Amino acid sequence: MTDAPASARVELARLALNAALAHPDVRAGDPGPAGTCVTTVDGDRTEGVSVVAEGSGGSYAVTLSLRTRIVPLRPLSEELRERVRRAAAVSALAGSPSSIEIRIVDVDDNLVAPSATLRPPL
Amino acid sequence: MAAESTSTSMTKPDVDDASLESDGGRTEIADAVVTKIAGIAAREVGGVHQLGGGATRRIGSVTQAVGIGDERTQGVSVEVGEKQAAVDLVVVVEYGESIPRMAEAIRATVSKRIADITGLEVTEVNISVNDLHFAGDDQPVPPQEPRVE
Repeated sequence: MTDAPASARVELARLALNAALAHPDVRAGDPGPAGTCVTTVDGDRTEGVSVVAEGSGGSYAVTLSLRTRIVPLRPLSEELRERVRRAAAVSALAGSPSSIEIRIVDVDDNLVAPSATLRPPL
Repeated sequence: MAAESTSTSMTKPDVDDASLESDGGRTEIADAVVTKIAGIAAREVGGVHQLGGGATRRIGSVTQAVGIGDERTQGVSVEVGEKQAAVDLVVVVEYGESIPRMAEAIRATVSKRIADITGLEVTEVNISVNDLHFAGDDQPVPPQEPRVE
C-alpha cells in the first residue's frame, strides 16, 4: 500500500464495489470467466469491478461483476445502479459514473433470499 | 433405453420488458446463472428423478465427490442471448409418470423461473428423457446365500 491519494478512477471502483456489496442480495465480487473484471492498485487486486475513463471529461464507465442470491435480477441491478450513483454523489464523484454495467456471473442457490418471489413446486 | 425428446417453442412470458438494457447501463446474465436456475427449476417438478445422461451422471458423481462438480447443473445446457434464452435438459423420470405431462410441467416451471429471475424470454425448453428410474433401483442388492455349505 502507498500513502499517495487514490485516483478518481480507483476511488470510484472501490466506492462502487462497496455500495454493491452492502446490498443483502449480493454475495461477492467476481472477476468473471475471463478474469478481467478487476481493479489493481499497487498489486492489490479488487475483484468484481472495473472502471474505464470515457474521454477527458471526468466520466467513467463502471462494470460490476457479481455473484448474487437467487432473486429477481433486473430489479436488483437497477437498485445497485441507484446505490452506486447515490454513493458517488455523496463522495463528490457525482456524475462521474456515466454508465454502470452489471454482470451477474453466478448465483448462490443454497441461500435463496426471502425476497425471491418463487412459485411453490408443481 | 432410447431417449425420448420433446420440444415446443414457448410463448412469450408475461414480462413487462424483455430488455436488460436501461438508461443507466446494461445488465448481463451469465450462462452459469441460467443453467443453475434451469437445473433447480426442473428438479422442482414431481417425478423428475435426476438430470443428466448416464455418462454425465457417472462423471458428475466423481467430480462432485472431489468437490469440483455441481449436481444442479448436470444435464442442463443453455444458450443465452441479450434478451432470450434457450434450454436443453436431459432428465431421468420416475417410472409410471406421464412423460408428456411432465415435459409440459418442466417447460412451464423452467421458463417461468428463468423469466421471473432474469427477465429473459425463454424461447424453447427441449427435454430429452434419457432413462426411467424404478422405485427399487436404489436398494442395495442383498448378498446371495451360498448354494452349497
